[in-house]
Amino acid sequence: MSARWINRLCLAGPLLAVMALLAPASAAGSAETGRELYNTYCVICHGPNMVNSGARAFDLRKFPLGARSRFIKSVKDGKKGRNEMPPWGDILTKEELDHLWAYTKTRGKL
Amino acid sequence: MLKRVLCAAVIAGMPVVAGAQTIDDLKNDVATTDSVLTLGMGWDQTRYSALEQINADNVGRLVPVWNYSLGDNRGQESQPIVHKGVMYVTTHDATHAIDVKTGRNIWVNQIEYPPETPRIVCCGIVNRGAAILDGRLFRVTLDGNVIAISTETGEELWRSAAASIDDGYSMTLAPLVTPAAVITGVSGGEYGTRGFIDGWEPTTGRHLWRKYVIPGPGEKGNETWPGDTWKHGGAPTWITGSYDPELNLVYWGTGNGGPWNAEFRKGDNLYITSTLAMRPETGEIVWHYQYSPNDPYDYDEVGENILVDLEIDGKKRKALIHVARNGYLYVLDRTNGELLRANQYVKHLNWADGIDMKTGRPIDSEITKKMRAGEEIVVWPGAFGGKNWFPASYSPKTGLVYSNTLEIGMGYKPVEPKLVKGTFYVGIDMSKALFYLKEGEKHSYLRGMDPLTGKAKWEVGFDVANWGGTMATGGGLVFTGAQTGEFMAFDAENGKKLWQFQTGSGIIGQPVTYTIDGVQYVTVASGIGGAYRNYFPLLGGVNAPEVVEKLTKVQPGGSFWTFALLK
Ligand code: HEC
Repeated sequence: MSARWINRLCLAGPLLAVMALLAPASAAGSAETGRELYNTYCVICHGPNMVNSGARAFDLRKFPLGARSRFIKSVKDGKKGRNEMPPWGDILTKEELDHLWAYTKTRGKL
Repeated sequence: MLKRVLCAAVIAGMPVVAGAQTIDDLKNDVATTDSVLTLGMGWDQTRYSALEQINADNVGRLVPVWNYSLGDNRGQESQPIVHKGVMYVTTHDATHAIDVKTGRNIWVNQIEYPPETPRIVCCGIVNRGAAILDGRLFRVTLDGNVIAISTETGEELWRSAAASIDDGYSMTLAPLVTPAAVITGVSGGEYGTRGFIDGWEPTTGRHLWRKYVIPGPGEKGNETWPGDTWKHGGAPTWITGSYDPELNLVYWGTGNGGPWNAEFRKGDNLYITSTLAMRPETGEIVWHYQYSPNDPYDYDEVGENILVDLEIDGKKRKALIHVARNGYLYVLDRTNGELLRANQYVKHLNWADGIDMKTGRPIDSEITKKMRAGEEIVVWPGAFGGKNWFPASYSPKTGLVYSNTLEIGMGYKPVEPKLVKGTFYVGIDMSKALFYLKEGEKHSYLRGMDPLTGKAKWEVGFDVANWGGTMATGGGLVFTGAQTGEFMAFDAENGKKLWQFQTGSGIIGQPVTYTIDGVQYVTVASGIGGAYRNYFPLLGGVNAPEVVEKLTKVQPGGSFWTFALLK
């Protein structure tokens, strides 16, 4: 790693931390609110507490935790694979998607 | 013959195309065993064929002649229509015409619907079949349209919007063709809808009439709904009615009340969970019988009304048999709706203490009273009912009704309902709505029942619930399929399994039989899906993991199988 890179990292690190502090809480999403949304919109296909054999829909407990943008895109636009995930972009707001992502990361164990 | 054809043409309002079938052909569907022109193999929906080439003695030699891939992974509940050597079948997004002799495709008509649609489809992305008249095929689309397709070319001829997914409606049923109108109903009882039935002109798709089966303000029956509750009261009409041409009455079933939590709509809630006898010209309700007034348990009574003439208490009766989702087997007088019989046919039932034969009303049990007071209970039968959508059959030879039946309880805790677009409007705690099975017992039985007593002359149990229709034949056989893929034939007299064939995916379809050039064929769809496949893994996993394992091992993949005797 070059010295320039180290320099950048040192600068960027604290800056990111400050940004995170200043950002509105919703950008990170609240898992509690996410669970409520999940129980309203998603539970009927993905199962109570995300417990689901995978026969009806994707087993959300296996969703890759690093794939936030894939999550947002799939929930907003839907996804057609072996089965069909309906799109929710017309109903759920950007903030609500963040809450759902926060809940998804709990693997249903909230 | 010419007179008959002309007469039918006048009724239908169009010239008859050579070789196209007429209203008279539909009327004679039961007698003409070389075709299957109506859902239920006859307007009376007995799902009985007099054919006896394939019979209890030789069914062991039944072999597949062809398999037709639908190229689709959804559930296949469609009943084929067979006319002049061509079979017409539907999936959720396509209609296929198949050459019955070769099993080859003639045409496909592909349809599209918005990707949001599955949000408001509770119980499987399915279509249950088509109807035909005078060279036109009628079907519905999942997103609420009725369309006509040329039986010859597969081209769309007209399209009429019946309902909108934005209001929670969807459509899955096969239309009913009567001389007066093509008739359709709607799904959506879990999504804050208000059920209705429509009549359409077959030639143009012009809307002839609409009957809301929940009366609006000023209409008789609206007083059975407090305040505005009628607006989202359910009563979906999602299965095809039967038709008696002599009485000129259509018998159409209605579904559950919405929300399920019935304390939010105190009253009888006409006409939820009812059989309606209607005029096909106008939709006028001539009589009704309501099975479960103020039903809280999702006991849709949309299932087939089988029209047969029976001798009851020494009198010949024009009867109507209804194997009800609420666990009782009913016989009504179909001229006037008089209740003749109501007998429990499931083993486990705790929501009622019986049916009062004078009033025709169920008697609330202690369990139901507790639930109405807000307590959590386990109700038998659960929301799947003693029988779900899958049609029963009736054999005039044995006098028995053949039905797949269920013994599944469900946790039930009423909570305040919330009406939110695109979601369940039920008012029960879904996390408590788990399925229960009786230990050491099967939870699914094929039963051959006496319609007058509800007693099973025989029954056969299954590890994974059967979710398909039955068909009875003059050959002394009952056909049905398993969700684990086996298509099976049973002895109609004693339930002995005589034959089976593994079709590759699960069966939730409706078998038919017919002859081509004098040879008897049997056809059924294979392709797992539907409500049990949707919900049993989600809500039954805790109590019956071994069932879920067997069920979820079954792979999707829709196709039609056709069988004949090995020469
Ligand atoms: C009508 C049933 C249904 C509902 C309701 C539903 N889903 Fe899905 N979902 C599916 C199905 C089916 C799949 C699998 C799609 C495929 O790949 O075939 C899926 C897949 C997914 C995936 C994985 C997508 C990917 O990138 O592979 C995510 C994430 C997801 N759903 C989240 C949600 C959330 C959050 C909600 C509630 C807002 C929701 N779903 C509501 C049926 C549903």
